[in-house]
Amino acid sequence: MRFLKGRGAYVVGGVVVALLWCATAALGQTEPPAATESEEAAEAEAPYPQFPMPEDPGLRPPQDVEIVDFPDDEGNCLLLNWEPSPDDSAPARPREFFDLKRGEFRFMSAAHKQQRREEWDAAAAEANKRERSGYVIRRKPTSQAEFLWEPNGETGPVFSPVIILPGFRQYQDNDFQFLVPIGEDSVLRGESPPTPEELLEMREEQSLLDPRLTRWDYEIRYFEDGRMSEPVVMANTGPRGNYYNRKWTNVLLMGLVSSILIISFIFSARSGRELYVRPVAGLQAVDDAVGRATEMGRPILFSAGFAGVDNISTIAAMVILGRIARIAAQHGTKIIVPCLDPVVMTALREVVREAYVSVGRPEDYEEDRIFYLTGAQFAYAAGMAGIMVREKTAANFYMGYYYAESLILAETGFMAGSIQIVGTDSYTQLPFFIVACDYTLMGEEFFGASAYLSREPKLLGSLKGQDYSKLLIAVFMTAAILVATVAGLAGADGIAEWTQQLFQYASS
Amino acid sequence: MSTPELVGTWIAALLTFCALSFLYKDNPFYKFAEALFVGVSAGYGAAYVVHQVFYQDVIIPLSVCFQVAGQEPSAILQVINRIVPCILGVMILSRFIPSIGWMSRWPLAFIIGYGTGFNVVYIVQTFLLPQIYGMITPLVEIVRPGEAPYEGLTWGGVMVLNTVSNLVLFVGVLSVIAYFFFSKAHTGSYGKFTRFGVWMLMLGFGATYGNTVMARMSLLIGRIQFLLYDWIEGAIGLSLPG
Repeated sequence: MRFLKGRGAYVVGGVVVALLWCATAALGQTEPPAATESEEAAEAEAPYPQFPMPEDPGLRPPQDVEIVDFPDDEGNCLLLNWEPSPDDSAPARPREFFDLKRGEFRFMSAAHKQQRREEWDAAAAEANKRERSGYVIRRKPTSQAEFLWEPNGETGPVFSPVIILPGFRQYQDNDFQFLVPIGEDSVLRGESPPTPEELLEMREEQSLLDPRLTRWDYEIRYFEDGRMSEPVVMANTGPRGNYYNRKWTNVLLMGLVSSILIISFIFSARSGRELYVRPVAGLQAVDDAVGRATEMGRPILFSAGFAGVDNISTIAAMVILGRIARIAAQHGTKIIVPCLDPVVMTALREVVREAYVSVGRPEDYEEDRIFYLTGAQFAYAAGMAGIMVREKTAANFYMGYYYAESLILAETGFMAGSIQIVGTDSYTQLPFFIVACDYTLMGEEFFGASAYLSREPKLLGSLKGQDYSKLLIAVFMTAAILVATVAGLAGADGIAEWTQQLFQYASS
Repeated sequence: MSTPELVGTWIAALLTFCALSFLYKDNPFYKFAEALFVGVSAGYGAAYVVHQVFYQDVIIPLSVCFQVAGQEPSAILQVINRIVPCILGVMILSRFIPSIGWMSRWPLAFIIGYGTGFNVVYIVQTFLLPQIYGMITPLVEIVRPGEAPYEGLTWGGVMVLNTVSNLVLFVGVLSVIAYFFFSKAHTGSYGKFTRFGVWMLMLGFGATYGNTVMARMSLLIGRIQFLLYDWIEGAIGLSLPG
């Protein structure tokens, strides 16, 4: 019972209390209430038209049907536009995606869009409920003889008819990847659900698809109360890719301005001009931590995070590892680098090897100290915890992107008595690192660390360029907010929305 | 409970206790669980890559491409798309032959260069613009005639809480940006402003901390539920109250 004295008593007591609390919570949890019978019945009675319906020459089809390529995409989407059938009593809904007459995207604020959508959906649903009406669209490859109501995959690719609520004037067809046939036996079978083998087959067939190389026919009809109009057919059409995405013009401009600033500061630094960078506490502690490990005769542990080698955080971690490895090589301190990704491991080996070569000690470089541990998140954390307590590492560096394992790493290192320095842009994990580690480089500090440590003109210029980019963004943002405020007080919503549109992003 | 399930539940329960034993200190039980976990996950990862990546993304597509090469114009493009990454992957393996080990740097340079360039656009699109976009709202919000009635506190037609919230957001964001501005020392009134930014950061981190801790508690509860219901009730056969 010796372990129940001192720290052991606290640990055991804490664990018992936590387990009791969790057991109470676990026993107290109840099953969620099942759906009531009336809810299930209401869902089952929802109207759904059955096709084919008898054609009624008295019902008029939609007017002015046209097919256009969806702008600013890779060539996997088409837009069908039409004017409502004169028999369609639902209020005509504006086209959301692209306004052909104005030749541009309609801009609305998110709240405005949501409000209008709810109004239109309610009106369309009401009209549909009253008359069970709407539009039905079918599609087939031009090479296929006729449109099918229930495609079985034997005579053509599977494409179920699409039903559109009344009042709509546009359909965005981005479903091409499931349709294109390859050769005689590439047609997807109609049975559902598909078997795992069929899913595999579908996936591989999709990988070969290029909708831009296939031509398509469409037909659209209006239906109402179990009857449908004659079709309007649009033949031999297909999507095409666009080289320039106009919605990303603001990204291009921001990139250009930032690049110009960075390049200017790099040239300025190379010309010998002294560039000031304020000191950051965590960075100054890096040298101290390596020195501490040397004095104690214990190793340094370095982790490059959980992201791939193409991630910015991992690249920044590599630069910092180079600095740490150089100091460790000079002092003859052992450095351990367990890796989560084999490609990252290869890159880190290069970084450490070059550091040892650069200080004239290539013979001290041991490749086996930078090794692949495992690719699984928590297995990696368990392995790291084991290394910390068994190797008794004097300094732990966690640089890169981290997920839920952050507290396991940081807390174990704290219990092992290591000095711990963190650099990450993972804002969800920063709180854990801040409470459990000695120094934390947050976000931009982490990216600026490489420049601060190396003092290389290229990196310093880059840091200064980013600084002034941030300044520009802050100035523009402040100006935009002030304009929006004044416009809002004056009731000029158009100006406020236009200001916001300058910073519109792809999914807004 | 079938025999395989029974054995699996017992193994899972015992390994759970082995892992939890690390709370006291490093011990042989934890070492066993750790070695098993790391080894199994590494082996599973290797098998996953071979089956899900190499077999499904390389072998099968290439075989399909070669079968339909005469009928499908895009097949040759797809062959190139698969072959080039394979060549780059093989180049990484050149490290095992010292005389051509330099070739392993090319794919690394490609991946890092691609990642950096791609991320510039990705980060601006995903993180920078949405945050700026969300920031651009009027600082002062007023109640307008004809709109839905506002039920919150108002003063002279101004929505007080919304306005205060917008002002805190605006000043908070500017102060945090100032904190991450490296070209000026944090001294004087500017230093105090950046100090306010640090406070804003810590407030945000505190909220995140509390939120995430509760999520971790739910994970622990899930593990306790496994021990209570699957192991004690299902495998051992004891009945629990409730």
